[in-house]
This record gives sequence, structure tokens and C-alpha cells, in this order.
Amino acid sequence: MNRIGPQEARQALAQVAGGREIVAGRAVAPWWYHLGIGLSLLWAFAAVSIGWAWIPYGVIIGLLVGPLLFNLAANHVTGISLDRYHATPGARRISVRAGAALPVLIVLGLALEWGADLRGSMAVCGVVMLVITIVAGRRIDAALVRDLGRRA
Amino acid sequence: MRSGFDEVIHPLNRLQICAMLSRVESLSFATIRDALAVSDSVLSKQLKVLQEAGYVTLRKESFNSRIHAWVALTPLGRTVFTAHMAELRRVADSVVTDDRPRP
Repeated sequence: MNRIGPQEARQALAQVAGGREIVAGRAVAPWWYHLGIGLSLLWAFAAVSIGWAWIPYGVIIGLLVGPLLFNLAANHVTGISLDRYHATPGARRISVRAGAALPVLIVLGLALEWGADLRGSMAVCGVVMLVITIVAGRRIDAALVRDLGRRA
Repeated sequence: MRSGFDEVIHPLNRLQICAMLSRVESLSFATIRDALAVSDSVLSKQLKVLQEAGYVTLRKESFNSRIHAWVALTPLGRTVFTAHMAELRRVADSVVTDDRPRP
């Protein structure tokens, strides 16, 4: 036996959709978020160009501490805690495609920096990664808004 | 067959809270309060009911010298909400079946 009628169920489903749209609207990362993540990655790349001694700082700050802090700050600013790069299928697809550039740029940069002795190659690859991070980030935000607001 | 309808989740504010939480890891107390346009005390009461049922968890953390509360669905809450939504959809769709011309 149904405890509610079809009309009430429909109204409840509409309210659910409304709640999801509110969350979707707020899920967009602050303007500085993807720029910050990109700059962290740029720092990780550039550390290799600067010198051997800077590589550990590049890895720790650029790949671990930087992204972690930017993520925490974005969560507090938006009031929404979620893994922006993997929260929805659409965001995940874009992240995987953009993320594939990371190992390619690392190998290319190291080959040019150390193999061909072209100083600053890793830093240049870092700039490319920064651009990819920002462009992919905007698409990820659009995918999050679309997917989070979608009816299940 | 056991119905997925859940009396604890169904009231409007609690249903919306669960709906908002269902697609994220957690939401800040302030975000939920603003989205529902309710007072702190009203939201606290609703969250307490969900918390006592074991459907949500409340985590407090300090950030920028202020205390922030974060609300998340528990695995049980997620399961019950999913079943409740399925039941709502079933009931909502049942009218389509009823409206079909009978031979």
C-alpha cells in the first residue's frame, strides 16, 4: 500500500531536483582554484629546471601540499566538499584526458632538459601543464554543474 | 516486498538535505541552511533527527579561527535515500499506469 499519492511523490521528486540544482550551482570552483592547482604543477616542473636541490621541494609543494591547500580552501569557500576531478562521470572523463598529458610532459621535459641539455625545458612543459589545467578545469566545472543537477 | 519509503527522510527539509548530500562528500552547515532558507535552530533540529537515525554525520573543524560544521550522508543514509527515491519514482509513475485506457 502506498503511504503517499502520485501527486505528492511528484512534488517530492521536484523538491529533490530543486535541492540538487542548488548544490550544482554552488559546485563551481572559485576563479583561483584551477589557476592555483596549475601553478602548483608549474612549480613542480620548474623545480627541475632550477636545479637538483629544488626537486624535492617541487614534488612536495607542487604535487602534494599545494593541491591539498587549494582544495581545502575551495571547499571552505564554496561550502561543498567534493573531489572536483572525480565527483561525476563527466568530470572524471575530462580529468583522465587532461591527466594523460602529465606523464607525457614529464617525459618530454626530462628528455629535453637532461637528454638534449635544453635548459628550462621542464619549466616550459610546466607552463603547458598550467594551461591544460586551467582549460580542463573550466570544462570540469561545467561538467559538475551539468551532472550534479541532473535527475537520477 | 519491503517498501523503500522512509518516514524519517520524507519530510520536505530532510528530503532536500539528503538530496543535496547524495552527490557530494559533505556540505557545510551554512550552505545547507542558506539553500533551504531556514534558521540555524530549524536546521539543527532536522539534522539531529537524521543523525539519530544514523543517516548523517556532523563533523566540526576549525578554519580561519572559526568553527565550521560539515554534514555528510552515512553509507546507511545513502542506501535508505536511494531506496526512498526509487519508491517515490515508482509511486509517481504509477499514475501513468492508472491513466492508461482500459480495454
